[in-house]
This record gives sequence, C-alpha cells and structure tokens, in this order.
Amino acid sequence: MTLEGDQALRPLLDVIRIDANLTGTKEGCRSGECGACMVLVADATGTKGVNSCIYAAAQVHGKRVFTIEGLGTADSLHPVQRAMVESRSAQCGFCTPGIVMAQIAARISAACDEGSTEIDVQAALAGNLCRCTGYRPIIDAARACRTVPLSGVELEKPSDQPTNPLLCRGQSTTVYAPADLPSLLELRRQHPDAVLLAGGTDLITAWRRSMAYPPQVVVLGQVGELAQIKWTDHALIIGAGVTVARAVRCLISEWPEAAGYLRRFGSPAINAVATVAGNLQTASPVGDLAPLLMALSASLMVKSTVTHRQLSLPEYFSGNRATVLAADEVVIAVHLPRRPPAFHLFAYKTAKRFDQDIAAVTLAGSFVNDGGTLRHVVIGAGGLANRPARASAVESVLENHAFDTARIEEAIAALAEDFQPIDDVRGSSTYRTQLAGNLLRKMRLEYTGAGLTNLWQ
Amino acid sequence: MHQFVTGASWFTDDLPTPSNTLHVALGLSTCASGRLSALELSTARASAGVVMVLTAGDVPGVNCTSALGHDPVFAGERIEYHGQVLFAVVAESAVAAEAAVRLVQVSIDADPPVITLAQARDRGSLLTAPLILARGNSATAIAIAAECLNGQLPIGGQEHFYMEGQVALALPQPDQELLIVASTQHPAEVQHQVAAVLGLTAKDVTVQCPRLGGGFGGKETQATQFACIAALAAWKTGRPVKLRVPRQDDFRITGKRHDMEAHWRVGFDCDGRLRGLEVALDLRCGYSMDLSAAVGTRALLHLDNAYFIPDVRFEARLYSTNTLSNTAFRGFGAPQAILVIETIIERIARVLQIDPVELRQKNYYAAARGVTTPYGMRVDHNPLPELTRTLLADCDWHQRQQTITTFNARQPILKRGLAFVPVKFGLSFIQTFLNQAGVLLNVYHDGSLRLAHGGTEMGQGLTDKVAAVVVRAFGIAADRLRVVATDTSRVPNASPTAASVSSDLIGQAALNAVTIMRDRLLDFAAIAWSLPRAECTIKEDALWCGNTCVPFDQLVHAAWQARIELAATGFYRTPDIHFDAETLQGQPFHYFVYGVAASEVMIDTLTGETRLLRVDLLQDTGHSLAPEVDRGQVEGAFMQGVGWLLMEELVWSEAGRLLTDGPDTYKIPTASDVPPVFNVGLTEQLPHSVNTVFRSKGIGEPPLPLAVSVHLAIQNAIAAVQSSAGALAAPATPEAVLRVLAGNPAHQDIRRRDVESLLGAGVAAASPFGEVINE
Repeated sequence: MTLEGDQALRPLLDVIRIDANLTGTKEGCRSGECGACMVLVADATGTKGVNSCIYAAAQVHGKRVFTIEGLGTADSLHPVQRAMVESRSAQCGFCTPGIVMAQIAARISAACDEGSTEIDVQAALAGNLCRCTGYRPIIDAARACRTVPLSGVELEKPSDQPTNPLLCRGQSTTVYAPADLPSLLELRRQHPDAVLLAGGTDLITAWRRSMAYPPQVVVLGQVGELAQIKWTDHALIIGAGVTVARAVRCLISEWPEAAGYLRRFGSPAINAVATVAGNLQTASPVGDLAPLLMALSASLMVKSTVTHRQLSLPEYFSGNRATVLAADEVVIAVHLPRRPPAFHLFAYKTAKRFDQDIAAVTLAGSFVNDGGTLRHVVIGAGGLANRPARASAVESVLENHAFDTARIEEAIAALAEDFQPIDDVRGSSTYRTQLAGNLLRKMRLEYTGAGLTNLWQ
Repeated sequence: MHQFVTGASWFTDDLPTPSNTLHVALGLSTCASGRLSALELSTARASAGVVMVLTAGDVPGVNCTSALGHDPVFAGERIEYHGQVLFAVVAESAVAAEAAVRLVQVSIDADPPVITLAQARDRGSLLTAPLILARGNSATAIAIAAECLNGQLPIGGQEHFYMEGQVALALPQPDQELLIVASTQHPAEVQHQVAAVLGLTAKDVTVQCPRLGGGFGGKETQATQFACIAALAAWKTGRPVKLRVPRQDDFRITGKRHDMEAHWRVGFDCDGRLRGLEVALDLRCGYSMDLSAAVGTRALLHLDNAYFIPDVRFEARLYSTNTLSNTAFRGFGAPQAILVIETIIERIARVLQIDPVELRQKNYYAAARGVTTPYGMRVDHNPLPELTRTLLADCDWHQRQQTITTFNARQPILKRGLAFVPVKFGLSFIQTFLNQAGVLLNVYHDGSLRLAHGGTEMGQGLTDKVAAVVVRAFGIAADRLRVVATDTSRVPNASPTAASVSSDLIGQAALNAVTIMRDRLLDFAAIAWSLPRAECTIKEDALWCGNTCVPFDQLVHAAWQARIELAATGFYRTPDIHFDAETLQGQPFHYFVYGVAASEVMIDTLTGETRLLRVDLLQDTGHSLAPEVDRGQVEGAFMQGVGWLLMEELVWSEAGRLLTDGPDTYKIPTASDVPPVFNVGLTEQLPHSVNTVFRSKGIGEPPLPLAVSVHLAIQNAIAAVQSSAGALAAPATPEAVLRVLAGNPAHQDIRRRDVESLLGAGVAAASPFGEVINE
C-alpha cells in the first residue's frame, strides 16, 4: 500500500479500517488506552504489538502489519484464539481481537512463557480494557497461552529495509525518515520547525484530535545510532530512540529496586514503541521516568550539527511541557552513572489505578549510606510542580545527616519550600502535599525495615 | 465465540456501507448554561467535503430524542450543559466533518450554571416533587430507640465505557422509508423517535441492531439522539449517513450513573435490631429527566436491601443541574441504595461493637421479624440466612477475621479489612407496562427455524439463552435454529433490553411461540399418520409416537405440503405485578434475586491505595439457562462495581466541563485489579416459587451491588487505624481514603450522645432533616 503526503501521518487504524476495509481491528478510544485496535508490526528486529490508533502509517514504512484477519480462521484458529474460545473470553466481543493480539505479542516478546507468574500474565494485559467479563476468563486464557506454540505466521519478517531518507512529501506536510544520525542532525538544522516523531504515542492522537499537522515531521525509527544501549565501567548510556521496554530491562538489571515502579509505567504496547527521550521530551509534570532518572543522576546528551552538550534533567525542563532544547538540537542519549557502593534507591507512584494511569504524585529518592549518614541525597518528584523537579530543600535537610524520625519530619516540613502543588483531576493540592510527605516517611520506613510497606508484593 | 476471536463479527461500524455514505461530526457547547445567540455556519458549510450543516431549525418534526420529556436533538435557544449538541456537520468523510466543526463560531450569552448538588439544593432546582416511600412513624421510632446515629455519604457516578462507542447508520430506502442500523438497547424507541423527529410514523422507519459492543444502560435512552441525527442527515441529503461518536464526545454528551448524596438517620436497639430509618437520597439528574424518576424509585425500593425495618421514611430528591442527563446504568439506583444501607449497618456494628454479620442476620427479613417490604411486597422463602452461613463457612470467615486482626496489630503501614454483604435485588421493570415481550418464530420447510425477538445482544448472552429455551422446549437439534438480530419490522413495540429481565420476558414469549408451533405440528401429525395425539411428542429432533419416529425435517416438510401455518408469534406479560408510582406501593417485582459476597482488601495508610486480595461470592441464578453465561455476568458485574467504588471518578470543573472525558483520565479496572483469589459460586437449587422460564432468574444487574463489600472492607481497614473514622466517599480513591485517615472525611457521623453534648454546649445541632434531634 502506498500513501501520499499527509496521509502517512494518519493513524494506522484508519488506514486499516477505512483504506484497507479490514474491520476486525476495532476503534475503542483513539488514545492508546484500551487496546481494541491492537495489531502486530514486524520489522527486522522482531514483531511487537502496537496500538494502531496512536501509531502513524509512516511508522510502518517497510514493515509488515498483521491484523486479526491474518491470524486464523474459524476453521483453523490460531492457538491463542483457541485458548480465548475455550475460556469463554468474549462477551460483547469488541475488545477480543485486540486481546488476541496482546497475548500473541506477549508470547513473541517472551513476556509470557512457561516461567511467567500471575503478575506477568496480568502485566501483559495491562493495556487492554474489557468492560464485560471482569477479566477472569481472559486471564485464564493468558495463563493457558504461556505454553501454546505460536503458529509462525506472525513471526514472518519483511524482506528488505528502506533506506531512502525522504519518505513522502504532501501538500502541507513533508515526512522524512533519516537513516543515520548525521542525516537527522542535518534535517534538524534545515527544518527547525520540524517535529520529531519517535514512538508517537502522544503526537499521533494529538494530531488526529486537533486535525493540525506540522509542516515537517522527522520519523526517527531508522536512525540506528539512537537505538543503541552502551554499558561502560562508569555509565549506562541509553540511546534516545531506545524503547521504554528495552530501557526498563537495563534499568532493572542495574537498579532492581525500581522494578515495581517501572512495572506501572505503561502497557506493553506503549512500552514497545515509546522511547526514553520521547517520554522526557513531553516534559509532562508527572512523567514517570523523569523523577526516577533524576534520582539516578541522569543527564541528557544533546547534539546539533555544530554543538554537543550534556544537560542534567532539572536543567533540561524549563517549564510546563517545555524544555531548553534549541531548535536545531536533538537528544541523542540518556547518560546514567553506574551504581556506586552503598547506594539506596526508592521509587513510588500513586495513582487511582495500578496499571496505565497517570500518577497524582511520583517520588524517587536516592542516597549513599556513608556509615549511617546520608550523602548525595537526590529526591526527584512528579505531580508536585509544573514540571518534574528535584526537591532541593528536602535534599539539603537530609544531606549529611542520619536518616531518623526527627530528620524525616523536618524534611517533610521542607517540602513546602520546594513545591506548591495544584488541584486537578488526579488529586487536590492538599492530597498531593500530604502524599509527598507520606512517601518520604515510607522511604525511611523501607530503609529501616519497619514492617510491610509494599501493597503490591 | 469464533467470530469474535477472528474479528469476523460485525458491529454497526463494521457493516459494509455504500460508497456514497456521508459522515457526521457533532458540534458541542463549551458553555454549561446560557442563551445561544448565534451560530456562524457559513465557513463550515464552505469547507472542503462538507455537504450540509444541521441545527435545531432543520428538524422537520419534534426536536426531541426521548419519549420522557425534554431531550433536544440539537439545543434550541437554551443551552443546558457543557457538551450539549448544538449542530452536526455532514461531510464526505469523518475527517472533513470533524475539521469543519472547528470552523463554526458559536456565540452564547452565558449565565451562572448549576453544577453541583450543593448548588442545586441552594437553588431548589428540583425536576419534580420528591419521591417518598414511608411506613409507620420513623421519627418516633428513631426518637424512642435506645441508640441513634446519623450521617451522610457522597456517592459518585459512573461512565458506562461500553467498548464500542455510540454509532448509528441511516440508509434511505425506496418510497420514503428509512432503515436505521444502530448500537442501541432500545430499537423500538429509536424507531418511534426517529419517526417523530422526521415527522413520520413508526411504519416508515425500520431499526436494526446487529449487536452491541456493550451497553450497560448507556444505550437504553442515550443512543437515540445519535440515530436521530444520522436519520435527519440521511433524510435531508438522500444519502446513507454514518455517525460514529468519538470517545471524548461520547463522554461529554451522554448520561452516566447518577451520583448521589445520602443523608441518613437510624434508630436501633442495644442489641442491634433496627427500629427506624430515614434516608434522603439527593440525585444529580442533569439537565433533563430521562430515566431519573425510575432510577430514584428503584433506589428507594432497595434501601431496605435484606433487612426488615419497621418504620422508615425514604425520600429521593431529583435535582436538575447543568450537566449531562444521568441515565440507566446496570443496577439502576439499587447499587447506590445498597451502599447506603450497608454502610449504615457497618457503622452500627462499630458503634455497638457487634460482629457486623451477626447484626445483619438479626435484621434479615424473616417470619419472626417481618417479611413485608416498605413498599408492601412480601419476601417469602428468604434464602439469605442459608446463603450467609454457607459463604461464611466456605470462605473461612472467622479464621480470616482473626488473621486480619493479628496482621493489623503487627503492621503499622498496611492494614487489611474484610467485609460481608448480602443483596436482595428486585426483578422486573418498575414501570409495569414494560414487562412484555413478543417473538416471531418461522419454521422453514427444510426444517430450519428462525426466531426473531425485540431484544438486543450486547454480550449478556441473550441469544444463547433464548436459543436454549427454544431448542429445549421444542425438542429439536440446536443447529436447526438461528436466533436473529433485532429488527423492528419483525417484532413491534419491544421494551428496551434492560432491567435484567430480557431472558425472562423473551424466553417466556419464545416458549409460548414454541408451544403454539409444537402443538400445531403434533395436531397435524396425529391426523396425517393416524397417531394417538396424546402419545405424540417431539424430542431428540424427531416426532415420536411409540415406536414411530419421523425426523423433524420430514415432519415439517409434510406439514408444509398439508398447508399448515409454519409461523407463530409468541407473547408474554409478567403476571401478578402492579405498582403505584405515586404511593410507591404494590408488587413491583416478579421475584427477587439474592447474592452474598465477602471481600478482603489491604490498604496502604501512607498513600491511601487499595489492593483487592480476595473475593468469595455466592449468586442465586435460579436454574440457570446457561451457567457459563451467568458466571460471566456475575464476574463482569462485580468488577464493574469494583471500578465504580474504587477508581472510576468523574470530575467536573466549576464551569461545568467534564474534566475526566476519556480513558486517559477516567480509569476503569484492568486485569491487574482482579483479585488474586476470586471464588464465584452459583446456586441453582434455591426454592423459587415463581414461574419463570425453566425456573431461571435474571442475572445482569443483581451481582453488581455485591461489590459494595469491597467498599465496606476498605472502611473496616481504615477502622483498624481509626475506629471513629468518618464517612468514606465512593469511589474510595487513594485521595478519599487518605482524607478519612487524616481525619477529614466526607462527613463525620454523629451519635446521639455526641449530639446531646453539642446541645449541652449550646450549639444548635440540626439533623439533615431540618429538625433538632431531641428525646
């Protein structure tokens, strides 16, 4: 299928349902929250499940897309489809094709295999809403699917990779897909108004909703340099285009105590396409990654055709949904110092729902225990200010002191110097303030090991 | 099931449409209250791909989408809520229509809106006189009772979040007829309202509904408006028109479960026997009546839940606000009422320090105590005492209570809570006339059958259940039968598929049609083959008489050739029900459905977050027509209730904009919210004296209020920290839980002795009922 100009920025879902007239893929929410539109996308790196309502047609350039129609027929069901039938997983049936896709994606990514726990099974379904069944039969099917063989069809990869930098030029929008970093930087220099498209989980839905497309869009998916992860003796360097799914695995391997926090980041279909730099670029006041990366003293490596600089995260965020990035600059990687000895890390997210929710407050804290004294204290917080920010007043209360009850109460009092949170749909100012203080208390309780503190373990 | 997993099932939006199909996008008000002074449409009309822009002035018939009063297709001069539909753009594509909507200039002279219940009370903006259900003298009963307690409880609404959004397709037909395909729970109402809007009559409009991707009450009345707009556009342009409402518009336009505030006062003995109860329920109805009176009534009819309370006064006050018009949602007011009475029971148990289950058992409807509800209907053969004993034993209740007490004593941060809830749910539309259904049974001369009915399939298994009834009653093989999707030209005047009664009503009507057809075939066979009629039967897919066996298709073929009529209509009206909507007295329900549940939660006292650990429930289904279907209904309803009570929070701005207008801000449960231990038992052998189809029972709504046990369990976990904690609002979001833990609850309950001390201190303590509590 060939698409011209602006058509390439339409949601893949519209191309599937309207252009290709394949109606098995359903539209539930158009915002990547419900999973009814999930399809499989295969490229040379493998096959993954994506929400086609927040994935641009341009992003599947040169890739293979599998919709539900391509999997199995009523006479010859895919093993996952059969498991869904056997557990009676469908009532109204509207979410069902997307859930089949999610389960196949989980099998392919090995998120679900014979070693998977109940929690893994549920995590694989985090991005798929069902309003009828209450999920029990779907979870039963997912459990059964841990060991079913894949049929094979969904693993077929496209034969060739596109290399041409210009993807398509339309009347009002030109879409570029540079193949390497120098081309990207050059395009950025030439088109300072261009919007960079990585995972697209925010942009595609915003464009479709506003019906307004930028004049130039640069698709980053083919820039190999951005997709690299490097481990050195001193640092972990995660390329800006590395997906959250890959980044999370690296982060957990170095900082396993962040696993519970990262589990709540996004659904598998979001994490499979969303990128680390993309998440930071939104500069969402709550952004789950930013507070954690602050606590890990992360910095961003930023490049243009002429400059190269490294910015700490607090420097990077300049305001509400704004960063200091210059028009010709591109974030190329996130730099994280390796874990020092006696390093402690705590990370908390509080939201109305466990999975796939934007937090009221996120808080991550780290320090080095120097014989009972806290050194290098960093507290990163989301949901408390107009941008993710460090709690510097709290940090200075804790720095160079023992972590005792009196100290933590003083630190909580200092929160008022750092933050004056607002009321919104996710929580009132009073609640956020109280919650932030309680999370500092929780940090201390977990450090001292006073009883159970984790609801989710 | 196969068609779902392969994506082969057709929902309304999946139907092949003619290539000249037009698409509609809606223009919504961004102001909650005011006068529409101008709509500047010329730019939109000139926009690429736009065929027409429709407003209230274009409606040839009645500008109303409902038979219940005032629900305009498009707002006229008066703007009544933020999100109200003002106009519709009809264009060659959905994208072109949506783009043109943004080009319309809307001028509104705004005035101050009434958004909250508090504002509505201040303004006295009632839709109608309060509904009152009373028995005895509650004020005296409470005054002379040994103990008295009063309190308040705010209860949130709920968005249906059917996975398939609202959608309608209108197809002009030859000779000034119109065919509508819509995702609606009430095709007959769509038919009648489309006719009224276009100035036609019902004979001119046919409505089909292939299937719904979920309804839950949200497509009972609320789907009609979209079908009317699509119909109007098709009528005006002469072309097929599709209206598929984007999710955000759907959130902003359509009604939800009623949010309510309960004000209550209860008198009881020292041993916990209830003496008198007064509850005032304030309902936020939104800008129009819709189904609010029926919702309020059903709420009042469930405030007793499982308990005999000698003297009561229940009042529902229907407040009008400048918000979307709240509507039907699974349970229809009963879940809110059951949350109120069960919260009261828990409060009494805490005050008296009695086991809350014992307290419930003492107050159950029973011959020794009383079996008549406040509305005059008897509760005979109450199975709740037995169900309670069974569930408590099965779920290890007493042992777990001790484990929890020990856990809570040891753990400073995490606290557990366990709670039990019984549910008695009344089955039947309380508007008696709706309790009727018809079917059309066609038998073809090849031996295959089609059954048409007026119900809609939305995942609840109606098709499977009706098919089971026909196959079993007829004695034929299942693959002979097709139960077909709704079409108003086959079965007229159907009631909405709602109130959990469809399998009862349609099943009985189908049984009636089968009986007629079967008798006709047996009469024919007796004569044709000279068989003794009394010994003839149809079973195992054949006519049998002694050793004579005629395969069913041969029987039918012979009957056809003998000119026997092979079509039959069946009809059913629920017997023995009556209800006076003024006095709220009568026999509104055909029967009750019962259930019990025990839920255990753990809360984090630092964050207010809750985790549901274990649920055990036992649900009465009668003799289930399809146990697997019923299990799915029970589990799904329970989790929907959990969402309502735990995380689904609707937030409005002061100006009346719904801020939680999509799944990014409005959170329904996911797979991770399912309790790790979820034991669901169906009891099929309960004594059930009422004659229902194969002694089955309706199941769609009754299990939902069992989720109240989760809310109570959180209340109990909080009580482990603060035994005098105040009212926990619903939903029990982390913020709500933390607010109560911090001593800032939604409301602090007041015990009589506290009131007396206040009075003694010279402080006027008014009850919510406007009178000073005094002995």
